[in-house]
Amino acid sequence: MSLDIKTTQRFYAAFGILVFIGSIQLVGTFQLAGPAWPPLSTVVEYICQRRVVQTLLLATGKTSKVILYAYAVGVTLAIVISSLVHLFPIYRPGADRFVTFVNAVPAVAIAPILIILVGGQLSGLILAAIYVFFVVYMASLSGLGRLNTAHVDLFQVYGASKYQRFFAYDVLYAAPMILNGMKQAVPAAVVGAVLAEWFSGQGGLGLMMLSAMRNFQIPLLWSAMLFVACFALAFYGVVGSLEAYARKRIML
Amino acid sequence: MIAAKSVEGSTRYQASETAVKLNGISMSYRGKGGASSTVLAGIDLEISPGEFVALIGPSGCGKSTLLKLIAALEIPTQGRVTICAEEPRELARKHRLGVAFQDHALLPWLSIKENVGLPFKLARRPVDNERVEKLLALVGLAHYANAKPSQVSGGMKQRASIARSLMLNPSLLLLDEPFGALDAVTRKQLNIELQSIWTEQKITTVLVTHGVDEAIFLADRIIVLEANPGRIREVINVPFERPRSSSLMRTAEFHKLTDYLTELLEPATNVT
Ligand SMILES: Nc1ncnc2c1ncn2[C@@H]1O[C@H](COP(=O)(O)OP(=O)(O)OP(=O)(O)O)[C@@H](O)[C@H]1O
Ligand SMILES: [Mg+2]
Repeated sequence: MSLDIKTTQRFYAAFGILVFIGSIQLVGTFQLAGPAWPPLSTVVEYICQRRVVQTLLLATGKTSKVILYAYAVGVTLAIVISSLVHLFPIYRPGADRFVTFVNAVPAVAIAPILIILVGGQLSGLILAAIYVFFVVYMASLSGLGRLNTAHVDLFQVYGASKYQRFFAYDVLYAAPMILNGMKQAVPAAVVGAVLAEWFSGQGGLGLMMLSAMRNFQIPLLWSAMLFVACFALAFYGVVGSLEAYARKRIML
Repeated sequence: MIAAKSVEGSTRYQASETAVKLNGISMSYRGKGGASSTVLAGIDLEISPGEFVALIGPSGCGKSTLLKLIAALEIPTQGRVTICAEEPRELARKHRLGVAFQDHALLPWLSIKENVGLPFKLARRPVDNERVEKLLALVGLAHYANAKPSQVSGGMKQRASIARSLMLNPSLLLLDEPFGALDAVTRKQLNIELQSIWTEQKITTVLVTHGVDEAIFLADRIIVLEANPGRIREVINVPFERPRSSSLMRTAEFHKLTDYLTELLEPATNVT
């Protein structure tokens, strides 16, 4: 075999995706899972209707806006707070306990209170942001905590201040891990946003899924799911390639 | 006796004249389960301004640790380190310290040139590109200025780290086996370069080395350490006039001193 490893891997990846799509199609075609599982081709046909695709895109726009806002807020807070904790370690125990507490309270429990307090749309954003925050905060702290001692010594010996080192070294050295956390947080943001739409009864794709389910509009349900999945995948891919880029630049 | 044993000899400088003063230094690292291992025990050493001291001793005897104590990267468990009559941290704070680490510690995302110029940035001074280029040329890296550390050899990284240590004209230079990964020819060349820099600027220098020749060629004084725990075994004053040329290495006296030192190191070590 003269195929190099990369080509082989790509082949297997493509093969895996084909098998996945093929089995979904087969299960649908032969009604193996009952009427709630249509053949994929039927769903695609359904989506291709002009009116349907417009509605779906509109809903995707709404949901992705919530996802992106939540993601931005969660990531920013996580990086800022983990940086502060890293720079001022006295606050670490307190911050850690608070973060663990917030994370330990199940979203299902806060959601109703939040919805009453701030309304559906905003509570969705907050819930998704909390998910994102936790994942990125943990990744960022552990990245910042795993600096190379020789490099740290270097900055001390040449008289760098804490802040000089932080911006010239710590953040950069931890960037691949932070970006890895940001990648892991993408599904969290999506799940958070969709769940919140279910709770609040407002919004885009999540709400669409909910009403499609209640009205047994199977093709619509599957279409909405497909759009959520595609958006999540694309988002994941973008952050993932940022991570790969940082890893290549930083971790030589 | 070739070399003067100078247990007392080191007291010939007055306190105000010392650049580095180690007073009853002991150092132990706490291992797992609270058991601590003593790396250095009862080290007394005074280094006068402009002096070139070589530290030599078996692997693991605490040479790097001693250097780290001087650089204020570690705090001794016992005893006191004074640099120019001040706390050891002050020198780094004033950007007056130059260190070439055993493992070069270059930042992988910066080019060799940027790495070497980093001390300027950390001292909040504009990077003097002329000086960067001059020092890069001095260590033979002129053609690799724009390469990333991952693209050059281990010996080149070490040389970059030496260039970086000299960048701000330090008052104290600490070199931890800086020539370890170099071939004999390059090593000799760099020894000569280092000597001329040192003669020019009279930087107080502490060099850790496994090379007996190198220590004798460069140093005013050689501190021989023994291991477990690390103690000063012997202090040897190197009698040769400066500037020393490479022909010195072929003289009988040089060989005599080399043999003496090698023998001193032999029972406990694998120095080659
Ligand atoms: N951070 C540390 N924690 C625990 N033990 C340490 C630490 N640094 C060094 N040691 C121990 O201290 C001893 C001396 O280490 P050091 O690096 O100073 O030796 P060295 O003389 O420089 O050796 P080499 O010639 O191999 O570089 C070793 O036994 C090592 O295991
Ligand atoms: Mg060492």
